[in-house]
Order: sequence, then C-alpha cells, then structure tokens
Amino acid sequence: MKTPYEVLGVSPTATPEEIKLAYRSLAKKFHPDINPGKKDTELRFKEINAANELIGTPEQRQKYDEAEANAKIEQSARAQARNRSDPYYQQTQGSGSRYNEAFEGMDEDMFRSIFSGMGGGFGRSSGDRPGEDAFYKLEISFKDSILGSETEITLPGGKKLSVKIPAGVVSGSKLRFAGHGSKGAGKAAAGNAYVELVVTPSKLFRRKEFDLEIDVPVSLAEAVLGAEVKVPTIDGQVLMKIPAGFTEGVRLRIPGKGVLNPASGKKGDQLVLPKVNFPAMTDEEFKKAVRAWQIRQPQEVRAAWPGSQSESST
Amino acid sequence: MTRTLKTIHITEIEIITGLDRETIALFITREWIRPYSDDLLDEEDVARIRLIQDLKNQFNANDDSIPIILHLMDQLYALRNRVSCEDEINPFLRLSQGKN
Repeated sequence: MKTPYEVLGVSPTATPEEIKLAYRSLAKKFHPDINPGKKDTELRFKEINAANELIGTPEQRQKYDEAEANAKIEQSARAQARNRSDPYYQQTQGSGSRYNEAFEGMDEDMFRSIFSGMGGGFGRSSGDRPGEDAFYKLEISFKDSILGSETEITLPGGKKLSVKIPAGVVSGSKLRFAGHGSKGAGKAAAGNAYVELVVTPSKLFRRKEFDLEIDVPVSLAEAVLGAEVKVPTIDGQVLMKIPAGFTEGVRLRIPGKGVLNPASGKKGDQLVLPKVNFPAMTDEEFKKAVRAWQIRQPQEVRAAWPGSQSESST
Repeated sequence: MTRTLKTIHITEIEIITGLDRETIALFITREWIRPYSDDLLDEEDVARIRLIQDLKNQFNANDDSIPIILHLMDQLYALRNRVSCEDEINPFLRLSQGKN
C-alpha cells in the first residue's frame, strides 16, 4: 500500500510548498477531464486527491504522520469514490449533451466561433436552447447494403427525407441529417436526425469483411468430372467453372464481386464453396462400379490422420 | 435512444458540491452553467459545476479564464463527438458521393 508521500512522489521530509507543487502538477496531469475515457487515470486522480487530503496542509500532515495510518489512503480513496458517485464532466459530454451541442453545426471558421460571444456567454441568450436530436432505424436489404441505394423515408412529423445508402454499409451504421431533429428554442439551431441502418441477413450470402461467401450445391458427377454452373452474385448470375476433383472446403474466387472497400476503393471477391450432394446409394450398378474402382485405386485416406496413430494421442 | 439526464434539486446540489445557493446562482448569472431552471439542474450541470470547482481550486484558474476554458472544452467535446460520429459513417458516404 502506497503512502500519500509516495502517491504524490515527494519525500516524507518535503516542504509544504513541494507537496503543494507536486499535488498541483499531478492533479493537472491526471484530471479526468483531460484524460477522457481512461478509467485508470480517474482512479489515480482520486488517489492523488486522497493523498493531498492526508498531507496537503501542515495540520493534516501532522495528524497523518502521528498516526502513521497507511491504511487511511485507501479508505480515503474509497470515500472519495463514494463522494464522487456523480459523473465527471467529460462523462456527460457524449452526443446529445446540451453544452457542446451548441457547436454541433460549427463549420470551418472555428476560431471566429471560439472568440465570438466568449464573455461567459455562448453567443445566444439563455432562452435559446438547441433542438433535441432524433433517432430512427431503417431496415435495408442485404443487397442494398452491399450495392448502396437511395430511398425516401417519412419522419413522424410527415417530413420526407431522401436517404442515400452508401455501398458497403453494415448494421449499426448511422447517417446524420443536420437540422432534421427537433426545432431549437429561440434562435438556437434544430437538432440532428440520425438514421441507424439495420441490414436484413441474406439467405444466400455471408459477408466476410469485404468478401461475400456462398455455398453452391453440385452433384457427385459434377464434383468428379468438373462442370460449368450458374452462380448467383450480388448483382446477377455468372457462369463459373467448377474444377474436376476439387477438395472439400475449397473456396473458388470470383474477383470483384464482393463489397466495396472504402479505404482502397476496390471491391472484395465472392468466394464460392461447392457442396457435394451425394445421391441415394441404392443404385446397384453404381455400387458395382465403385467397388471395381476401389480395387483398382485403393485409397489410404487415414494414413496421415492423427486419429489413426494411437488411442492416447488425442 | 435519446439521452435523458436525471434532474437534481438545488438543495441536493448544495450538498453534493459543497457550494451555497448564491455561488451556484452566480454561475448561472455568468452563464457558466445553463440549467433548465434556476433551482432544477441535471447531472450535466452538476458535473460542470464540479469541473469549475476543480479549475478554480486545483488549476488556480481565475474567474476571467473560466468562460474561455469552458467555451474551448465545449467546442472540443462537440468536435470529438462529431469526429467519432463521422468515423462511423463517412468513409462510406464520401466514397458514395465521390462516385456519383
């Protein structure tokens, strides 16, 4: 357990000025509003405050030194945490917070905005209050999520919004429509409307980042002899060559039929997994042919399989 | 999904922050905080009061610098929210708009 001197990084013989200086320096460094989202810094900040409470003034320090109560620092930190159950300022400043919302529509001229209305005011009267943001969900098809599309939605107030769905979006992507939320009070700006996209899963395709995966059933004959089969892609069918004697789990690639990668500007690929549909094994002629083939071409398929080495090697 | 914050009566805020009503009223007059009403604040207002206290007590900020700091912090948080929002959306939007 650290002593308050250790927490503040000063020696037990430090002068009151040195302690004060160390405390101020650490409090500035670890203040939660300067380190948003860092839990450990918040704890450290509380610890620093707790240490300062114990040795920050000559009287408190004397008491502490006399009692040599190392345990008090932890107790005090716990008390701090209890006292400070309310959030730090940065924790209240997410999207939709009232104080930073005034700058939501802030454009390129940031400095003019900074220095206008700085005399404690915020460039508007206290009766002005920005409108609230509105949140909506829009269900879109898998195809629209991959290729993009345009649609129109009607907001509860009857206002229509033209929504352009960019190619390659995933469920949870949000589109922002500035000024389409609730009206602001007084001269304040209206809130924004946010449309969260919910993608309906496809029965055919599985998205793997920027590739699209699809299973294609093939017959035993097609698997053995190879074939050309029509394969659906996200934007139409293509004729694809299935190679003779492909191995189980193979992924055949159709380049450029996947999802647009916004970083590279290129599309991913479509991956085709052929799945062999074995016929009902009742045909005597087929069985006879396989038996004859087996005699000619015996296969040791489990020779290299770890399962055949010994019972203990699991 | 709209955020609603718990409102807190001024008497409770006096206990939480250790400030008297007159000081809180002064913060309101100076527009350092802008509550819904003078005696009903929310968590965001309380957090802002505590930030002002920290600025004054731990950072030695004087009364003239408080509004400047608050103003800059508000802009910073607004920008941070905007950037995090655009990070999520706009890589797609920009490309889509660029192509059309």
